[in-house]
Amino acid sequence: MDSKMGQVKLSSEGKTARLVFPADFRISGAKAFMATVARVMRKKPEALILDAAALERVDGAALQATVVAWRAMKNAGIAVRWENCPASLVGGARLLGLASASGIDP
Amino acid sequence: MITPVQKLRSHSGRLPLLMLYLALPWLWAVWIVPWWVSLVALILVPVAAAMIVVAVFPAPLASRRASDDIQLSDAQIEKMREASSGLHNLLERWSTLSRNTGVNLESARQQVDDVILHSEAAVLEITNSFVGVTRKTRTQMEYALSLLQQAKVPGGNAAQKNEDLSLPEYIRASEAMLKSLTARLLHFSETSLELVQRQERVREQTRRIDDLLDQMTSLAGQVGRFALSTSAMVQGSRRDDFTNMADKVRGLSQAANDLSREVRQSLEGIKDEMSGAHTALNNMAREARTAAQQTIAEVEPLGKAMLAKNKQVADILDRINVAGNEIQQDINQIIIAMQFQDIIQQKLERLKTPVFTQVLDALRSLSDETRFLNQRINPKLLDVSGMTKTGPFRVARSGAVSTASTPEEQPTPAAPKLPGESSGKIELF
Repeated sequence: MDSKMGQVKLSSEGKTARLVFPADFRISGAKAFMATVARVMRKKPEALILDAAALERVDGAALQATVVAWRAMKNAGIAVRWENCPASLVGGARLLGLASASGIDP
Repeated sequence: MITPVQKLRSHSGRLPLLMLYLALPWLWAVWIVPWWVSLVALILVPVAAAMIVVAVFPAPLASRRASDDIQLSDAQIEKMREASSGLHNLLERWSTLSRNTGVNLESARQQVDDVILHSEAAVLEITNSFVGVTRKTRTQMEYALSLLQQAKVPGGNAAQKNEDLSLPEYIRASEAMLKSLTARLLHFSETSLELVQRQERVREQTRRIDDLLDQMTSLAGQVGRFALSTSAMVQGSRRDDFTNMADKVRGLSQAANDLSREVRQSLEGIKDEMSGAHTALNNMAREARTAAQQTIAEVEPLGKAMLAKNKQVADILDRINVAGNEIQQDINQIIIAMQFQDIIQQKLERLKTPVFTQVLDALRSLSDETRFLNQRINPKLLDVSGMTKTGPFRVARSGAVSTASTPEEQPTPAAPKLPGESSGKIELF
């Protein structure tokens, strides 16, 4: 999946999986993101890193998808954490009141 | 009975002629008898003369004096002379007592003169000390009044003219300056209160701006949420959604314009208030500077005047203290001088015991002897000197009154002793 096309990229580092967000992560990439999350849950890694270093634009639908993914990982017993959250992601999540539910604000 | 010796003494004037007569028979035979016979005869002549006087001559008649009473017999006169044989000695003792009494009275007079001189000196010293105390007290009062009336006070509000201010005037000048300072401070307080009111208005403006900024933050949140939802609207691609979104964005823009205008108005108000506050602060600072300069100009000379006044008060208090010490010394001298009473008492005691007591004892002794002699002269008179009023001294001892009378005075019968006279005291009348 190419990040420039609005799709997330999954990589594995031992028992830790890394999910790298693209620069434009909006409603159009939400479906592929949820599919990737489902594949991670099947592999059952010990930990999942959500890397948002390249994320520039995000919308409400994408944030709702991250909330769903975060709750699913927690329910599956996978340790999940955010890395390199940009201001656009944090500001959007706080604006919609989803920062805590998505794990962006611990 | 006349004794042989008295008889010889009475005829002593005749003995030489008698011895000459008895020696005549032996004188003519001195040439014819042995010499030792003549010597024995001459030796026996005085013996014979004495024996003739004693054995042959009659007793001499009593001699009478011109002063003797002719009604008295010789025997009475002789008896009186025998009785008055100690009168000469008594009179000699009276004379001695008189001389001693004169000496003692002279000593007493000197003591009294000393007492008088000492009393005069003490009274004079007390008077001078009291005059000194009065004068120094008046000086103290003048010193104290000089503080209240007229004093050198350089500087001060009125004192800037280097005038002489009394202490009350100086206090009034200080009070006036303090009132002026208080009025200026009150003016500053009112100006500061106006600044506080301006600050309160600015605070109200900033609070309104804060509210407006909250509203603008809310608008920004709504705009952000619109932005987050635009992709979903695009996915739905409904025309009504775009129309509604455009209407809401227009309303949000209008609201943002209104908020911006109100914020600008509030900022203008704050600017005006700050400008007014700045002007008021400048005016207050200028007035404060002027007031401070005036205050310094008034306080500095007043402070110098206060120091000078304090020094002046200290000097005057020192003078008053010195005068007080001098008054204390004068009072001490007065107290010392008033002790002359003790000295007088000592001198009188010195007179009383050795002089008057001795005189009284001597007079009493002589009076007793005189009374005894008088009784011996005239046994019919009992206590003849008891109530003699003409005697120079009358000594009363244990109720028995005796009088030492002059020889020319006739004793008078003694009056009966009064019960109240038995006091046992020795009194000098």
